[in-house]
This record gives sequence, structure tokens and C-alpha cells, in this order.
Amino acid sequence: MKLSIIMPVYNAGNYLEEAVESISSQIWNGEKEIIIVDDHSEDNSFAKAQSLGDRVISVEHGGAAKARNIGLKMAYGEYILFLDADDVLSQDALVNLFIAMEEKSDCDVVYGKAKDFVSPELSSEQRAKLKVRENGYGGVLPGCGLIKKSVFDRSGYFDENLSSGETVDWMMNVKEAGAVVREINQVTLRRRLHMTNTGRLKREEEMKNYAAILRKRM
Amino acid sequence: MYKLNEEKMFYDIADGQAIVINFVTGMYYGASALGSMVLDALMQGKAPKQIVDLIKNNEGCVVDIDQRVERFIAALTEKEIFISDDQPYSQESMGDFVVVDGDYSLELNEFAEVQDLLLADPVHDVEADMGWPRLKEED
Repeated sequence: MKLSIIMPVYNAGNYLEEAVESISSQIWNGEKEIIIVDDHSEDNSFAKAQSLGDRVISVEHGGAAKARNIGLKMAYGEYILFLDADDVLSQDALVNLFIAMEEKSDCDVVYGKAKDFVSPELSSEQRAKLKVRENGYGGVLPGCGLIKKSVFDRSGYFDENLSSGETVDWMMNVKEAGAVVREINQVTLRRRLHMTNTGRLKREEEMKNYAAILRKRM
Repeated sequence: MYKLNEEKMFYDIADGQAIVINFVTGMYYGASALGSMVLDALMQGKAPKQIVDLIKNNEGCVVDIDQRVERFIAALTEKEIFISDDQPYSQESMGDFVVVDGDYSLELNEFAEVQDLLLADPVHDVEADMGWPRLKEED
């Protein structure tokens, strides 16, 4: 298996189909599997996931880090890409990520750029409240990164004690371990802005998590 | 009094270790044990003189503690971590400042190695009228 795409989902049933369609419509046509880990959603996410994923599991609610780790343990792929259930991949995302990955044999992680889009169901009043990054921006959003699975064996999995910021924490560990990380300029992820993005709803908690992550490094 | 520049900064303290994160630049700051105590006292609206007097209660306190605290606060304002306003200082009493192992160092440490990671994370979902993020967007 070349690629495992791991989708943690929690109460994002309305967006899940679009996310999976963005995988199905990729130009890249290598062998891949879609693993959906439902974090015990209260909506129809699990039912939808069962008709969309190659392998689907519902787990006791434990947060994104735990869901990602469960997906990793299930994955057969040589490479891993995490796609949050409310986001979508650009059609050429996998092509561009794999080209960059395979150009250099020692490459461990390739990151593309992200671009925001406003979820279409939002009212004009809601849209006006959002700050949308319409140009590509770099970062460590889960859906931006193609990662060799062996990196997780070397650098460890996500810290399940963190209710947010787990991908930044993991990336810091990876960089400190000397992994080879490449960044490309192509936009590979379109990130959906809606009124329930975690960063908006749990801002204080997210900040505290960052403080805890950084304090470990001081 | 001094107050946190909340438009740019987030402050947190745990286990005696204060940390300030600048979510505009992605820089973050830490301080020594005494520095963390001073930071936390300033966060509570305490006057620098009250803070210095409490530190002086420690046996063997360095003679230039006034200047050290002054320089430390100057560094905090220079980095725009704290801003001054015309509100009165808090008059509430404070607990002791126990200086451990004679460490009177008051240095503000600045860290930049995770700027890119911090600036791009979804924690930056904000309302349109707020000041950040200032991400490196393509032109």
C-alpha cells in the first residue's frame, strides 16, 4: 500500500462527503486507502463514514490526537496524510506532494500550502466575522503534509494529553529529531472556515495547550 | 500600572514557570524563577516598588535588585509584552517572594525556533476585526 489517508472526524457529517470526494478526484492514482476514525460523534458522521471510507472505526471520544494515533496503527500505507473531515484537498495535492517527496530519497515530510475557504452554508453576517486567508500560507496543518510512516516509528505518535496543538507539538519533535522536511509552494489543502472551527470555539484552551507545549522546550 | 498587551500576547504560568506567547510574531518568552514571579506579580497589577520590597525580604538579596527589576520591566515593555496604562496599582497584599538558591537573575529569554509552526496553526482562527494573524501569505 502506497498511501493511507487518515481522517479523524467528530461531528462533521455534513462535510465528510466533500472531503472524501476531494480524495477520489485526485489526479494522482496510486494505491491508497481511506481510514476514517470517528471520535464518537453525536451527529451522523459514523453512518456517513461507513459508506465513504475503506476502513472505518468508531472509538470512545478522546480527541483528535488519539483518533490520529488509532488511524496510524491501522494504516498499511508507506506514506501517511491526515485530512480533517471538514477540509478538502486540492485536485493536484497528491501529485505535487509525491513529486517533491520522491525527488529526494532522504525526504521524510513534505508540506504544501493551505488556503482558506468559507463554508457555503454561512450567512453573510457570519461570513463578515471571519478573517479569510485567500492566499496560500505555509504551515503544519494536518492536510498539508505527506509523511513517511517510518517517521512515526522514529519520532513517536501524537501526544494524547493535548486537546489541541498536537500536530505542532509532533512537528517540533520531528524537526528536533533531524527529520528532513521539505516545503512546496503549491496549495494542497483548502481549509474550511465555519462557525465551529475548534480554534474559534476553544481559544483559551488552545492557547494554554500551546503554552504547555512550549514550556517543555524552554 | 502595567498590563499584558492582550492584542498580541498570551500569558500563562504553571509550576512556577511563566511563558508569554506573541501570536503576531510567533516568538515566545520565558524567564528565570524570579523573573516568572515578577511577571506574575505584574500580571496581578502589582507596583514594581512593592515587588522589589518583597524580594528584598530575602536574606542576602543582591544590592542592585531595584535596577534589575527596572531593567526586566524595561525589557518586557520593549518587547511589547506589557504596556502601561493609567489604572492604579493593585493594593492587595502579596505572598512572599522566596528566592531559591540565591538566583536573583532577571533575564527575559526570547525563543524564535517555532515561529513558522505557531503562526500557521489553526489556533489563528480569528474574528475579522482582531489584530492577528499576520501570516506569510503569498502576494
